[in-house]
Amino acid sequence: MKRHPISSSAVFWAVILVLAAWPLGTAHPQLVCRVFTMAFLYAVVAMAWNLTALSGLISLGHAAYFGLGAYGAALMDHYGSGHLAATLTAGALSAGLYGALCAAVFRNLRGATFALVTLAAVEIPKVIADNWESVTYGSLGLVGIRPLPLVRLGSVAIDFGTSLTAQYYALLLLLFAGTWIHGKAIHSRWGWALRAVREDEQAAGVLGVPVHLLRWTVMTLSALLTGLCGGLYAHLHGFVEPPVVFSAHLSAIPLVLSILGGRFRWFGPALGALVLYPLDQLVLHPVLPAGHAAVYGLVIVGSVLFFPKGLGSWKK
Amino acid sequence: MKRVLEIHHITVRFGARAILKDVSFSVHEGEIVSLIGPNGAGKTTLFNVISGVVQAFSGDVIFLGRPITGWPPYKVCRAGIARTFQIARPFPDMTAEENVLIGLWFGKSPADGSRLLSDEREAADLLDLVGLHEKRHTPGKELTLSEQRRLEVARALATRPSLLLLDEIAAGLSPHAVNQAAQLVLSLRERGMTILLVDHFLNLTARVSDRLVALDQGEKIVEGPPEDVLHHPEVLSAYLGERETAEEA
Repeated sequence: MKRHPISSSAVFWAVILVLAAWPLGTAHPQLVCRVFTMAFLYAVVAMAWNLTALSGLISLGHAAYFGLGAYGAALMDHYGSGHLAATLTAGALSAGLYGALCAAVFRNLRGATFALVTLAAVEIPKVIADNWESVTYGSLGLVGIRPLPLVRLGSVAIDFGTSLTAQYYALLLLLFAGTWIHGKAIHSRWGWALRAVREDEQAAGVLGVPVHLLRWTVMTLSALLTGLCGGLYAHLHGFVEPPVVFSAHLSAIPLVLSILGGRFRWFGPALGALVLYPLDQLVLHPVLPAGHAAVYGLVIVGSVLFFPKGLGSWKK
Repeated sequence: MKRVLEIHHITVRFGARAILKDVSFSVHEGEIVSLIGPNGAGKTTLFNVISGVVQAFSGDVIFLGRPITGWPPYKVCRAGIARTFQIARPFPDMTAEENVLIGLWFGKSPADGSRLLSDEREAADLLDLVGLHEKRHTPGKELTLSEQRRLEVARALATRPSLLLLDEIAAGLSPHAVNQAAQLVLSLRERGMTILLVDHFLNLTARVSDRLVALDQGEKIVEGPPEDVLHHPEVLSAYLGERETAEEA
């Protein structure tokens, strides 16, 4: 078995260590803290997206799962329990069920046709959220979603709702969990099955790999994880509205981050997120307030042309 | 002798066109049987039906007494049927060893539930058997045609089959490589394997087969010992017809 390059994963771990230690210093800019918190969130969305991509299918519609996750959590918070476990479960399950349904209905589609139908699949929940006003408040969206809760550990109270540092560490933990799952999808037998299906699904099938079941499982898991992130987003921002949580940008982000970081490395999508999102928000946004998002387009073109395997493959 | 594979009245249609019409035959334990016939006879389609890649319109496939008609490919594989493809399709970016490991990991579980050898050791033995030990770290796409075919055999064997379907393993090979392929097929039988071959060019059939089943335009025309089938008037006319068509073209 060929091992993944030690050097680039060592660099990745060094980055994570710095990120874990950095807010411990006394003064740090709140903006930077917030931007990295969101970078961790998008890193997990990117890894969730890449789970589907690792089975050889490119989705252009992960905004559907993100939006359903955000709406699932927001609606549970509004009509049912405001308990975080309940809202996040509602978000993840809404997205997961839609993902499972899409995976079953699209099971025989590949390549461009698969990408097209995933793009179309965003419109269904979006139009429902936009028009079912008696439940979702339509295009006004849902506001006043409760922030993340205050947690007491003995005598210490951590307010995840107001402390940006606490949110930062919570999302960093989520990043670890996401990276672990993503790592398993590359360096385990499950990962080898995904790779076999990606390289030649008919050959994989006759060698005993259950192609349809594998794809269905991985797409459902991918949707669940994306939905969980959508739910967290709803709590972090306090409001959801259709054009924001179902936006095409949210379908494009995970794709751009994964391609930039390297789709076939366990740390690739996370690396892409940790490099590009802060660069975009902290460096480009102040300089180009209107056009900074164009960098995502440039990154796709640049990566595909000059380093198709992503930053993660910079050194063998 | 025990029947390993029974094909009962298999018909396959693609739209209005019948690719296979009511084909029936059996393969017994330890036999080497070849499916022969000109292009378009339906040989590969029959392989696809047996391995679950294509669904039959009607008829049954019975493997070791169990009907497996309509099973998905992975289930057919885990039941004990492995196959190669007419156009070799190794996983292009995986090394030869990794290709074989996929078969070891996802194919049929070892009979006694325990393993004597490590996966890597077992993969190395299989690559040795097909003469690819030196190439074990070479990616599938960088192997020659003959090596890719042999890798497919090793990978199929890794799934621990009792019936092996080999699709044109000798097509396009040099006479020397054809001899090697014949030796390989015979050595597999010695290991207790039952083998069904597809052989369009009759490269291997006469040398290694116990029986031939001749197909033409989706129908079985005759089956029996090689010398009888190869001299059967309908087989001759099917092949000669093909040659004449080719010459006219």
